[in-house]
Formats: sequence, C-alpha cells, structure tokens
Amino acid sequence: MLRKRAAVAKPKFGVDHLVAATFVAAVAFCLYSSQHLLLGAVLAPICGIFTFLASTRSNAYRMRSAFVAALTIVTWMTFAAFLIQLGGYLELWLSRHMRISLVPSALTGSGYVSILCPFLIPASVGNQIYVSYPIYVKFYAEFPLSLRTFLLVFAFFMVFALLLGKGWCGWLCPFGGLGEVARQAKGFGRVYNTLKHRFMRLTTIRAYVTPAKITQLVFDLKYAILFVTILLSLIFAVQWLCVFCWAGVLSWVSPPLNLSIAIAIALIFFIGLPLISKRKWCHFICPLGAALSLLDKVAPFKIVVKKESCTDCGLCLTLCPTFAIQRAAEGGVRIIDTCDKCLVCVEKCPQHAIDLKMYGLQTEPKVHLVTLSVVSGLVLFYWFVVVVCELVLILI
Amino acid sequence: MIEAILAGFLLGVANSLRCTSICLPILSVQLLASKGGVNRSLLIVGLFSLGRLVSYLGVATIFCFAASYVGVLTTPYVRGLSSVLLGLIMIYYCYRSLFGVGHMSCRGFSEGRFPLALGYLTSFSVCLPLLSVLSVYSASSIYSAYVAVGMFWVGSSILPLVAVLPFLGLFKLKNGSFVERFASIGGLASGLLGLIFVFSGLQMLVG
Repeated sequence: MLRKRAAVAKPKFGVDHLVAATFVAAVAFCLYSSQHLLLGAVLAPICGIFTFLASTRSNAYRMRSAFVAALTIVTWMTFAAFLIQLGGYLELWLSRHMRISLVPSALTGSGYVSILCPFLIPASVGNQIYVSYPIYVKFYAEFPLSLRTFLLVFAFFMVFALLLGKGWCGWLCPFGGLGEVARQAKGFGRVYNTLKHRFMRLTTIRAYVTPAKITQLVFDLKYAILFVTILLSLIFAVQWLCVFCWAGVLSWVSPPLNLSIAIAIALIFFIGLPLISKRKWCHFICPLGAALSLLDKVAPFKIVVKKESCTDCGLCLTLCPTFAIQRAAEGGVRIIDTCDKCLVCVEKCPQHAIDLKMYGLQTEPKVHLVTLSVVSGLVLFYWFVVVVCELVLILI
Repeated sequence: MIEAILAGFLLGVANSLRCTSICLPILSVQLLASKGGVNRSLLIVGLFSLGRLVSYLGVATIFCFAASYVGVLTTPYVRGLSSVLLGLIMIYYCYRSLFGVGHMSCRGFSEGRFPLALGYLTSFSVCLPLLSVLSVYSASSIYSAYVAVGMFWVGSSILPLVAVLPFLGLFKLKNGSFVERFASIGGLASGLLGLIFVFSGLQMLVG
C-alpha cells in the first residue's frame, strides 16, 4: 500500500516552459560556441529539450537524477583524465603546476587551490590566479583570464548558491551525484547492495527508529564540521574545506605518504560514503552541504507540506533520499533542512500534499527551479564540459 | 618597572592575533556548548584566561629558577603531550555536554576546572615573544618577570576577548530547540576539535 504510486498527471505546458527552454538553449549556445561552435550547437538543443521535459513532465526527479549524473560523469572524467595522463609523474607535475599560490607565500606560506575545483576558486578573492590545463589536452586556457572574469565567476557562484540553496546538492553537486550514479548502475548497485546489507546496517539511520537525541546529533554533525573547518581555517590560514573534498586532497601531495593518505581518504570519504544508501555523506557530514543548508533559509524555493491534504501514509518518509521528511509532533510530516529539492516527494505523494513553492512568484515554480539548475550547471561546469569534449575529440 | 609593564603589554598586543587564532576555537565551542547566559559565559572566559595566566606564571617561574630547563618546554614531546591532553579534555567536554548529567556549567569551581585546564594547556607551548620578555626581565628580578608576563597576558588577552564577544551570553539557558541545537553543535565541534588536537599531538610525539 505504501508503495502505491500516484496517478501520473498528464504533462501540461505553456508559454513559460517554451520560453525557459529557449532561454536555456540560448545560454548554452552563447556560452559554449565561444569555445567550439559545434559544442554550442549540440548542447543548445539538448539543454533546451531537457529543460522543457523536466519542467513539464511528472518525473522531474528522474530528469534531475540524469542531470546530476551527467555533471558527475563529466567531472570525474576530467579528474580521471588528469590522473591518467600524469601517471607516474603525478607528484612531480603537481609540485610544479597543481599548486597555485593565491596569496604571497611570504605572508602565510600557504593558500593553494586545486585547479579542478570550481567551488573553491572563489576563495581567492582579490588575487589573480592562472590555471593551465595539462599538455596532452589540446585545449589550453588560462582561468580566469583576468580578475574581472574571476569576480564574474564568483558572482555567479554566489548568486546560484543563494537562489538554489540546498537545491545545489540535489541538482549540481558531483560528489553526491557519484552515489546516485553508482546506485543507478545496475551491476555495481547489486554488488554494493550486498555489501551494504552485510556491513553497513549501522549506517542506516532512519529518523523514526533511532533515539531522538542521537538523531538530532547526527543531523547537527555537519554544522559542527562546518564550524570547526571555519575555525581551523583561521588557525592555519588554509582552505580546510579542501580536506573534505576529493579534488582538494591532491593539494596534500608533497611527500609520498601524504599522497597515500589523501588517496585513502578520497576512497573512503568520496567513493565509499556516497555509495551507502541514500545520501548520508551529503546530509550528515559535508560542510558545504551545511553551508548551503544555512543559505537555504533565504532561498526562494521551498518544499511545503499541505497539512489538510496529508493522510500521514508515510510514503514520503520512505521515498525521501535525504532524510528531509520527519514526522511532526502535531501529526503529519515536516520538512527539515536536509531537503535538496529532488522533487521525489512532490511527484510521488498520492494526495499531492507536498508541493514546491517559490516565494515572490505565483507562477509554476518547477520551471524556474529546472531553468536555474540547468543554467547553473552550464556556467559552473563550463571547463569540465570543455575538457571532456576535447578529450572525446582527441580520442575520435 | 614601567618599562617591564610597557614591554610586556606591547609584546602581548603584538602577539594577540596568534593567541586569538589558538584560543578562539577552543573558547567559542566551550561557550556554545555551555548554553550559558552572560554571567556564565564571563565565568568561563575568566577561568580560561586564569588558566592562561597560571601557565604563563609557571613558565616565568621555571625561567627564573631553572632557565636551563625552559628548552624542554619547547620540545615536540612536551608540546605533543599538551596537545593530546588538550584534545582529550575537549573530547570529554563533548561527551559531558552531550550526554552527561546536566550541561557543562561553571556554577562551582569544580565545574569550572575544564575551562581552567584548557586555558592552562592552550598556553603551555611557549611562544617566542614570551621568551624574549622573560629573557630580558628575569635577569633583574623575579617580580619584574612576573609583572612583564602578567602584562603580556593582559595584552595578548584583549583581542581574544573581543573575538569571543559574539558568543557571550548569546544562548541563555532556557528550553528552546534552537538553544539546544546550538549547544549540541558546540559540543560536537568540541569533540571534533579534540580529535584534531589529539591527532596533531600524536604526530608531534611520533615525529
């Protein structure tokens, strides 16, 4: 009974869906055709059609999953390409190229950013940095071209984070997306499910079976980690968020031992944890997720529960991949701060008691969320997409 | 004497940024986890500062009476051990504040031993400005050394105290989920910091 599916609503579309699709296609074309005309011409219709379908059909959560999977694959392909082409010379190459000083080393002796990181580059406000992609890839560029370009990227980053809030994790994050991709790969998922059931029962935290105190602590852990990372960054004047990021661990590679530790941490935290059922890493540990949860308080998109329609069937509790739905003390359910707006609950609720709202606008909010997410992905993952396309072209 | 006061104070002020970067994390998580009002927060800050003063005076005493042993304080073993101890206390603090009977309060001195110990251990690693003050004024008399170190403590305490102002009495003890949540975040942060201190201390000990 719990698994009863909602009646599939007929797709409905209007002018705003067409406008959104056209807008996304135009953004994709303008952005990517500056690098390759063909790339812009291919991506524009794909992104336009995707936006149209995701905002009109009733399975936007599946489209979201596909979108974040695509971003994840692109990101990891770039990462793998770096590792493969650098091979045995990894450490030597990294010591020369990977560490880009962001501040005069005479002041702190630290302050590096990984060239793979699209998120922490904004941490170098006020300092011009240059990043070059490695030799085997034909594409060669400096990023950002100027301080103005850098500030533009920073502004984009902040605007998207403010607008999407925690939705960033669900729609854009390539770390959390890794787990989703792995779970969707059938063969791998089977192997991993076996492991999960045998060894990982302890990690299956469900809000309604663990004591309330422990549950609350688990949910607060990410904020504590965020707090500690900020404090430690004050002490050591380094970007401690890199410690929690698989790309950032590459900046630890000066002695060989550190490289081994970095790889081990990367394997455990960024491959092992995301594959555990649901997104425990993202919602209980990730400090970036915690920061986005805080930003989510002011983000315009909200998932709301219509109490008068809720029959307390509990289907959403089971389906939610982010532990974001809990039983409310006064009956029914409530949404908490781990909600990444994946829209599963909205589209699967048999009573349509859960809805996506956008404050400030009375129009259909889903089209705005989808448009914003796709445009964010196009802008912020620009270099990843370009590098992968270059690689594909070289292989062809 | 005036010279000792001025020199100690100015060097303390000059060193206060470093002191802030070390004291702020420890002190802020304590204040967060204590769920205290202004009075309790001030008591924690006071005891923490007192711990630092005791530590400084201890170093001054060693410097005056057994100057040849001062070098021991700067060895990685002593620094590592103090870091491990600091970490263990913070982990215990985390445990007590999250699961203990009642919260980590400073109503009595027995409850205040944690901020005192943390303050003492935080300042246990001797910094270069402190040593330079001591090397100058311990030669004249032990009193001028104490005065110089005391003023160094005053000077170096100003910035940390300003930095923790936002945490003072921010969370009054009352039954609110918001306060409870901040307290549990502070407790967890204390545990995490403790783990990091233990790890870095062990690294120093192992070499």
